[in-house]
Amino acid sequence: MEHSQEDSGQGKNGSNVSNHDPMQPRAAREHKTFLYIASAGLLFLIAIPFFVGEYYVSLASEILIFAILTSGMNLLLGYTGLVSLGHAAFMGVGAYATAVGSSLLGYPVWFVMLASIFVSLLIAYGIGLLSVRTKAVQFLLITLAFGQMFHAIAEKTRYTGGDDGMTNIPRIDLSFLGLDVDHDRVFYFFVLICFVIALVILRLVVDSPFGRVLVGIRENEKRMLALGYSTFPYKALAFGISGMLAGLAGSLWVQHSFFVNPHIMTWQMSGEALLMVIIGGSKAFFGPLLGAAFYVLAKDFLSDITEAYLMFFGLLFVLVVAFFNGGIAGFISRVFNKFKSPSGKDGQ
Amino acid sequence: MSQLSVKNISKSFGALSVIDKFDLELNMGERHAVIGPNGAGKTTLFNMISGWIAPDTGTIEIEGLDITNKTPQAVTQAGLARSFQKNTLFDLLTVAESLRLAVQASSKVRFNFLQPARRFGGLQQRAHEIARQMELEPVFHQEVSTLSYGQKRQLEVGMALACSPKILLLDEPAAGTSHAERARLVRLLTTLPKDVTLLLVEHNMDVVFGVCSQITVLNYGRIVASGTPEQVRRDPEVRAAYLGESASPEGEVADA
Repeated sequence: MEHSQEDSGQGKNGSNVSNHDPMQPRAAREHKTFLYIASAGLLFLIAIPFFVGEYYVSLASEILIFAILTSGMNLLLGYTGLVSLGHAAFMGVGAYATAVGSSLLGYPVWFVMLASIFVSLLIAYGIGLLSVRTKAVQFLLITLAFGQMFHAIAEKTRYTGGDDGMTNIPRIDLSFLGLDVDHDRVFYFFVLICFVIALVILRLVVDSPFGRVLVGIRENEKRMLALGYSTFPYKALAFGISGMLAGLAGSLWVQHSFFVNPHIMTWQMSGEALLMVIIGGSKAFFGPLLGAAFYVLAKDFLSDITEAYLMFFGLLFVLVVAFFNGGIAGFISRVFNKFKSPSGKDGQ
Repeated sequence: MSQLSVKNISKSFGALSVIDKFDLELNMGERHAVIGPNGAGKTTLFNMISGWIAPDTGTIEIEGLDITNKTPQAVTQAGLARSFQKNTLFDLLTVAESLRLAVQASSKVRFNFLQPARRFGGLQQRAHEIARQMELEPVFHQEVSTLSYGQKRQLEVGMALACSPKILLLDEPAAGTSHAERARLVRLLTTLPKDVTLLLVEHNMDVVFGVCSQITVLNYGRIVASGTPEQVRRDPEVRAAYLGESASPEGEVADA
């Protein structure tokens, strides 16, 4: 926040794509681009299962599940400017709530899913109320502490299998549609529908007056206070929505893998999710999706070759942060803009 | 009843008394400047009035409403908006987006979280009005980081103005501006709506004498003189302490 005053130097974002047509509101222009990308992307996602084998369909489900988690996290990181290291906990809450509700208590999975989402929203909002009073490093540490607390609870709880976790967790029952979700292709489409709903909600949020307030907080919270905004409830609600999406991701994750253990709540998991967001690009709406795709595919590829795949990720992360400001999404949009105007005439 | 009433406020940081029993009454539409050498306590005074620092003693009221220990956001909601000496802007937003956010702060839609912001045309219109008033229309859809320094200062004032305040506190609006930029700012400040009360901290005498009809001179946290520009200009103590013998318009003064 402090440096936003100093950094306002012309050069920093001088090459920014956003000033082509001075007579057009940027939001309207960006919304148009968004609709194009979203439609093309959706067609692509629908087409995937028709062209690749079971294994890759299953990887694609994994990507979409992580993309729900990371897109939700990006509401905090990219839009509000808050770095949470505790989001795996909310994923875990969604995962365990689903596992307990369906496999131990015997409720139907669709109901358990809705309940898991609601429970993660409530818990995340509560923790948000406590955490967002702090800033920067303190915020990171307090979310980390909460995350570790949830992890410890999951590890110590006998009822949910302690460290071993739980297995044989059922997937949602879609037999009334004549579909068998145990087929990975069918399950993929179910995940895709959840993903689309999650991202539509997220898009509505970032596009709303509320979402603009979050961006204002990221850009300069001091000014937001001076304008008369009580920034606290905005940040707490953003935290809640973000945790809710993590919960949905967790609920889908246990159905995808048929099991859950406390590993899903470790801070390493939060860290990996953060990596996905940053590699993909936190400034772009679809950055976290790209990051999740890249991460899952690269991990799949690298772990075939070496156990030390995390080392390569570390290296990659350093490269992205050092040279690719804006991650994969930032890189793509730069290339695209260069392609669109090779003469550079649209730099304002 | 005066619109802004500051009574007997004091503030010390440790043993250092920064503001000592300060009083100020502003009537609606008044143009008032607080001047004084660096370290006279002007910024502390501003921070107290706008809610960023709590005074040790005394009360601050807006139209009879006590705002002494309110938060900055509550003070703004009570009708007193401020600008900052150092640009405090949204660098990656456009001018339009920045002003919209400012206008939205006092509207009911600010907590709406499922409808696209661009649908609220009223906000956009008001933002555009402010931009025109602050002569930022040509750069309305430009990113703030690409503006010139002078334009950023105009936006700094515009952001506060967009809160539709009854009282506007401007903390050195012309700080760091060139001669031409300053002239433009003075012109813009003189065309502010007449019903907005203006309180200004400023070093530059062009701005003070160009905009304000009342001046309070502060030194070592105390009021040295107060009155019309003419009275203040003639005040021997002020001449000695602050304006210098020649009373030059470029009256920058060394640290007290």
